[in-house]
Amino acid sequence: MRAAVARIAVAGSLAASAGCFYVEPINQRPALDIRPASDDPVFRGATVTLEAVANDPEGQIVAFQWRVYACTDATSIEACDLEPMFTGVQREATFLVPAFRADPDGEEGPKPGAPVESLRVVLEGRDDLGAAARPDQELILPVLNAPPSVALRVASAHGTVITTPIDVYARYADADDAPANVTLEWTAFSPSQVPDALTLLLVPPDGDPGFRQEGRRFTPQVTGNWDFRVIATDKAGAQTEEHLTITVAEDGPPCLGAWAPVASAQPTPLTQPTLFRVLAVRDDLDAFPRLSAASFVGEPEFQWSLKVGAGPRQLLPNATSSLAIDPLTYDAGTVLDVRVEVFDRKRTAITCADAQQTCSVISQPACIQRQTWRVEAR
Amino acid sequence: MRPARRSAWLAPRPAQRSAWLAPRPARRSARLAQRLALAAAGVAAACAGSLDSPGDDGGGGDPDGGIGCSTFLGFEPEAPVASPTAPVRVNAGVVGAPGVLSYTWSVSFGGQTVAHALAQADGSAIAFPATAPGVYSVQLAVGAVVACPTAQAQLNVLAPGARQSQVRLRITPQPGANLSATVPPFERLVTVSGGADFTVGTIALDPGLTATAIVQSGAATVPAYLRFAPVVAREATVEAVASGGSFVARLLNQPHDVLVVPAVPGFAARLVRDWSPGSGTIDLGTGTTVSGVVRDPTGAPLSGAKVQLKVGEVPSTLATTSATGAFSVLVAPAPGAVIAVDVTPPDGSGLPRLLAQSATLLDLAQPFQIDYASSLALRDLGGATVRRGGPAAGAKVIVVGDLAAIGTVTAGGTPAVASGLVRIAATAGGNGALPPTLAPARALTAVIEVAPGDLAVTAIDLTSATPAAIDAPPAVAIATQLRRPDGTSIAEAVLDAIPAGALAQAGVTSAIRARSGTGGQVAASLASGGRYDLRVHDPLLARGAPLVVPDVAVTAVAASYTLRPALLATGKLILQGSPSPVSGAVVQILCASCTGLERSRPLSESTSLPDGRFTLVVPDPGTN
Repeated sequence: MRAAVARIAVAGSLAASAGCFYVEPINQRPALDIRPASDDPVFRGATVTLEAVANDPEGQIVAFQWRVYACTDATSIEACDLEPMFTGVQREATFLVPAFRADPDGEEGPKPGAPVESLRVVLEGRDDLGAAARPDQELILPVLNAPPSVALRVASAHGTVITTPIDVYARYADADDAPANVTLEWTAFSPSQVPDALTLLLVPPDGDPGFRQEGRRFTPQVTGNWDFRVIATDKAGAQTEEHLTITVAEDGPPCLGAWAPVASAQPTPLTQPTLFRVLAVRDDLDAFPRLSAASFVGEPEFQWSLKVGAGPRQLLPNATSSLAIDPLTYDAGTVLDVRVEVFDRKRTAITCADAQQTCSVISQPACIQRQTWRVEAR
Repeated sequence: MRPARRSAWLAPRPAQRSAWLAPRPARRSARLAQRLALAAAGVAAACAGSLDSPGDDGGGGDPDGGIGCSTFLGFEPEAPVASPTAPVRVNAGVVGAPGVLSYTWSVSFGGQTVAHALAQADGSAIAFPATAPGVYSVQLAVGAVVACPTAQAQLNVLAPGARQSQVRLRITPQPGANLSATVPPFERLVTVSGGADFTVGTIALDPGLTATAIVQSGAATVPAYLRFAPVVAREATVEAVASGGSFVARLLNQPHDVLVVPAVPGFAARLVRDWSPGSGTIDLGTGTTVSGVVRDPTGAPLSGAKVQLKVGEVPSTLATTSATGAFSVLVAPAPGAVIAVDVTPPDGSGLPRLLAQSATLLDLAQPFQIDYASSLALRDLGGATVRRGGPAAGAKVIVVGDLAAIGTVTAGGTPAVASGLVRIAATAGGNGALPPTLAPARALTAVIEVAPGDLAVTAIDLTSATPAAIDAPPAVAIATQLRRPDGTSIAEAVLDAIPAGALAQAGVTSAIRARSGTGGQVAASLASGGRYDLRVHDPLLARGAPLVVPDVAVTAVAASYTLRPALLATGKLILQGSPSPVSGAVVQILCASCTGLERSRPLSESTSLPDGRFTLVVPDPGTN
């Protein structure tokens, strides 16, 4: 400043000696404004971006200095932290809104944690020649309690099938509080909007301390769209409601997926002891090989039968997935009809005529419940 | 650098399959050749490792584009044994990435990170301690000016003193799920080292090709049944029926041995060796006519008997003897093959089925003279009463037995001695008495079905006379306990009693299944006098490997049966040429040393998950 004054004095003496009057222009203060990046309300735990807008009359570059204080009441200095929770020198200030004040105790001794209710934002600006904006820009941002977040998912490895347990998990958090302070209210409504009973599921820790999980199991007795609602409420009473629609279907019939040997309408030669096998059955709950060890998961039932030559078809007390036939136990040239039919727990009757080699109870060739091998003992 | 080779763990690499690859455009062939060379270089030290990079057989490479950066991992030693002192070294090979490279490694075992140390100053090799046997996962990310894919590999670390055994791994893909077309089944041997779980790695299934061909004999098109056995996996057979003489089958792109059995008379079945799926035709040839005559024990012609020959595994046509006992069949000769003769006598004759075979005594160029032995006497079962306490009205009796030296087959020189198989059925009348029924006058066995599923087995000696009564004792209740390998009892395990001996001869095929309850107790009702193959398994919880106890008399069922120690084998299925996993495929472990039906009964079975991964229980051969 001292150098500037000296320069003005020198300039004045030169102007006087030239016979004209010269006035050195005075550097003016910049004007400042704070512009939020968004008009959205500010929640605890949210990330906020503010932008400094400067207008310097001389067009000089303005340096900024941000200070953001966490407050319970930003209209009172005493209700704010002594130290800023954020400082910065960039044009943009981006910061996380804390959930609690850092030093609520002040001079009066320990106090319980004080939730942040507002922010006091102070912006200073100074141009290249040191002129500071007057007054400093100050902004008071009201801070709201952030509602908890909750995400729902269905965990059912076996589809959502009537009369079988369906597990729903809620993963929840609260940006400005511990998830332990969030309570969940669960409701499941049947397609006719009747609330259904839910049982608590034990859920292992999430692994992320910022989140918690809860689970509920329900066992629908009717098909259709079930409405699952979870209301998460934090300690301050803020709520978030999430919905999940679960479509519960009928237990579909089992489908023979793979078998061996090849099955043909024409008799194929049986030249060696052969294991007639079902390799795979597709089904919601009663698949083969079995889907899982879950108690509600089962296995299909196999019904084998044999027709020797023109004789009657005999049901065989064989409950396994395979049937061994040795051609030597039949006269050479004897034609055998080896048949397997598969049932799930619904035991839907297979009503096709005996002469039909295959049968689908839902009239879909890709989902058959009967297969017949026609072989000739050789 | 060691010469490139594969361990038994690994799926066939393109280098092994390349001979059968369909022609590709030259540019692609050149790329393939280059990639093969790279892969061979990369696997040079990787034999014990199972490279687990989807889409390619190498480490991490460009699956189908041009040659970019490729990363390969090699292990030293190739087949490490768990040791507290000898670390495993992993070498990285990076091709196609210029400049200075950075290497980021991670090693894990059982979900836990394993510490590693640099074994090469530039970070291109590491060493880690493999103190416990099992599957170690190694991952390498390479930093370069070009993008290099992450390489992943799994390494089987063997248990000290591991004993080895072999099992068969069979994969039967199912259309649907994520396969739009049928994919041929796949089978290969897997060497199991005892004492540690292991991985079979990523298996790239050959999608095969669609073979369309006609079956012909001369100018005639012949409807037929066909069984294709690929030469590299003979048991992964595919069957087809050429109803109108032509067929379409999805086969591996390699030679097959094809059994062709005509469905119409006048043509001989034939085994066509090394048939190429692209050849378009299967030629049956004309076959050779073999004639002969069958005579009963009195020397009289036996009419109405069915005669069939087999040359090796190939059946002849089926003929019925005329009033003069004469027959003629068509066969496909095969030099050096065993020739088997099978004569089924007419119903009511009381004669046993006559079976003879020889590789040297029977000449297909000579007429066949088949004689039942004059010493083979018959006995009438008529009047014998079937009893269970009182007469068992309507009981079905099947008399069975194996007889030696019941006749001869002469075709050229020295006769071949024939054995006999007895299977004669009769049904008791209302008073329990059997109708007139002839049977060989030998010591035989009667299988009696008093009511459907209610069986009994009893000896019946017809040597000197027909017994006045045939007793059918009630079924026997058996009880045993099922245990896991450590000896503790287990519920929900399965006991299958599979008919054996006389029951099997009588055509009783149904297995009796029972599940263990609390305390491992399991009970079943089995045929009195019967014998069964007992099969204990735990298909759901896999708490052990199946135990098979063959030919157990119902009176000799043990107080407990213990599952065999088991290992877990894991792997992943992809489709060759595609990184997509194959889900829903049936994956089975089968016995490699078994014969007969036991060879086709899976020891464990599962289906691949949506990510293509599968887990199977495998018998543990143990450690020394």
